Amino acid sequence: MTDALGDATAGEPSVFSGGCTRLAFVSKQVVEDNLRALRREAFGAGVLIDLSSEAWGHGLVDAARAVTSVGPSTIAVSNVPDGIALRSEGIDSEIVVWNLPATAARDELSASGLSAAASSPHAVGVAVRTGAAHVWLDLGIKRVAGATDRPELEAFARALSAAAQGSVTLCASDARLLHEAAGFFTDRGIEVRGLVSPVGRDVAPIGGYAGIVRIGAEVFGLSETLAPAPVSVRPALSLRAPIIALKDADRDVGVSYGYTYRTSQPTTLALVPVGYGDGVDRSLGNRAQVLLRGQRLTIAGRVAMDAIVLDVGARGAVVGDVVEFFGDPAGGAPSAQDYAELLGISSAAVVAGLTARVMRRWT
Amino acid sequence: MTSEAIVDLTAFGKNVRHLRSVVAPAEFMVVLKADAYGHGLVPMARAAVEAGAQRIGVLDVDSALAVREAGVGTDTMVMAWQYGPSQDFSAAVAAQVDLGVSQQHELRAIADAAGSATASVHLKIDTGLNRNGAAPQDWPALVSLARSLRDAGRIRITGVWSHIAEASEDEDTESMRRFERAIEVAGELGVAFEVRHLAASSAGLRRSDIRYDMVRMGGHCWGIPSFDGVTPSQIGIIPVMTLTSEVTSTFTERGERMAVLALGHAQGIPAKAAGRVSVAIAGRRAPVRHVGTDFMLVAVDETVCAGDIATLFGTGAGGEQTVREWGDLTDTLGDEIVTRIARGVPRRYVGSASGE
Repeated sequence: MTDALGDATAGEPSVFSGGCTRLAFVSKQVVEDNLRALRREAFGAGVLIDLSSEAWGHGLVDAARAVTSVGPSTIAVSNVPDGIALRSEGIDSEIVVWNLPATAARDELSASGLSAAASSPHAVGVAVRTGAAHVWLDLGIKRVAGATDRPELEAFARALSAAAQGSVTLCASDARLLHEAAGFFTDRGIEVRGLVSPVGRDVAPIGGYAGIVRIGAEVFGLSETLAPAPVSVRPALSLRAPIIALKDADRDVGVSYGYTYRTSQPTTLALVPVGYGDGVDRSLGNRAQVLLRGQRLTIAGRVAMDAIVLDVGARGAVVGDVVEFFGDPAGGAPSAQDYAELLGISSAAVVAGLTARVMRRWT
Repeated sequence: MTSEAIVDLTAFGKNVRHLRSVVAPAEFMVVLKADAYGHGLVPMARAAVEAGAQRIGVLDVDSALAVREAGVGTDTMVMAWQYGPSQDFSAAVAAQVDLGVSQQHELRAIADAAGSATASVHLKIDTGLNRNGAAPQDWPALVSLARSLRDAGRIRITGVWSHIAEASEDEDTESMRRFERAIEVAGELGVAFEVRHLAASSAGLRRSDIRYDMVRMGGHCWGIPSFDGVTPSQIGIIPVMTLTSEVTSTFTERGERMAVLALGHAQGIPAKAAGRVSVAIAGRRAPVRHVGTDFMLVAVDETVCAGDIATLFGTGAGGEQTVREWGDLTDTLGDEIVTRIARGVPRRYVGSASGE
């Protein structure tokens, strides 16, 4: 028997029908469960769900449908085309665009009813000129910035006034800055609609402002920093591929480019069609593990553009056996966090870095 | 756009024509696997034909069909070689896609899929890389099966091929010896080949003895030298992709001014980029200090402000580093850098591959 994900232990190839060889399965259920858990932790605050980088590689439209099915929220995306894509798919939530180019056309946002985040006073003018439905000031939640100081807040206030923008939502990871900025803008007659803090922080609506939490890659069970994701969430995506060829090999033969792996005994080598062209880093050869038939194996030799090799020994692997690169560690597979630690990057970057060649399949 | 990858079709056309002339009289195959190394499969397939290429290699059947559907006619060879375990070959055979074959079950499935058209196959021998390709002990059986299918009119045997390991000159020479031995074995079994192909970018450019009837090149077509110690111009090629990004904001921290770019690891910026590579803004180098999940910080002077355009890599004409330099500085190949630039970064095509 096999599950819908092509159970990595049973070796059932049916999900890889036709020429399909590289699949990222995403569990809608896990995404929804993660979001419910994160909302519970937010104690009724409003929610800004950050689907940057095409929902951190999970597929923008499917992800937006999944998160909006759980409850009302604002959605943030990397750029204008992503916002337009969601609108054209019928997503009617407020959508905030993080990166609005300085050259954006007049009314580019109003045409699709999009909001914009501004991370500099200059960007406030661009947001208003392009017809943003609402302006979100990023004082340091998405953007990385030095300490926001009084002169910068004054520059933001001047830009808002010059653009005749009378209201803003403020975003910052520093709670003190957030409340200080809220008072500052309110004193200058600018309506502050809400204060956005990172998920997992204190979100009590101090001072009468509406509290909003920003939920990012956590909704997919991932982290945007080097630290692991919160324990309340599980990874939603699993990268899998079938064995497409097997070969007997003698002792002491080199494997893959540069022969950086040599067999230690007569063995069987398996070819798996996932490589750096799929976003699995070339440096992971002889380092990262995969799951095959319930056991962990290390990639043998260099990761090539289109394939890796496994030294499967006498495990009795057959063509069509499913290899899981990373997924939910509860099932025995390595996690994206494991890959992230080998690379010194975040788990969100590992998953978002999977290329378009990997087909995403929501189940 | 905030960020874009500019693809110079004129440079690509020049590279293809130059590389074709270098490997002549051997034929030249432009390799467009992995979405044309991140440059975009369909536009680059059309550009390859405009540049005069008569042979295109892709990886999988779906990509080969996409190339045919983009209007690349059957006078251009389009070849695929990586298949799923239950691959359906009927559309590929009908579209006259040449098929690389390593295993007997693939050969049978191809022969079964042959309808009115006869499949053209290239038998693959493993010459030491231990990835795909038939092992020497399995080779006679693969050749014998191909012969009987050929005699029954169900396939056409067009080529014999392999990949070399590029472990060392001696290893490559050893791979050549194994390749020639496989051709001899096939000859003894009554099978001859029209197209023998072994070399890719590196060996294909450096060694005339390894070119046989055709050389397959990916990296060099994109202006990325695939061996050490040379610049693109020294081997007559021009980098094709230029990656740019708009400065979204600036700030000062510990006395150093930083510009923020909305490109990070999620967009394909290498894990090791921070502290190693630079970008160019207005002709001046700005070292990359930090790369996050979807942003990066570069150190700049007081003249740089939001809205300025940073060039991450390109030809070097604007003071920027090349892809090959980025690869060297981050311990990998330029091929990996360009291939992994995310599809969310728009590609913009400029120039013309035809050379007119």
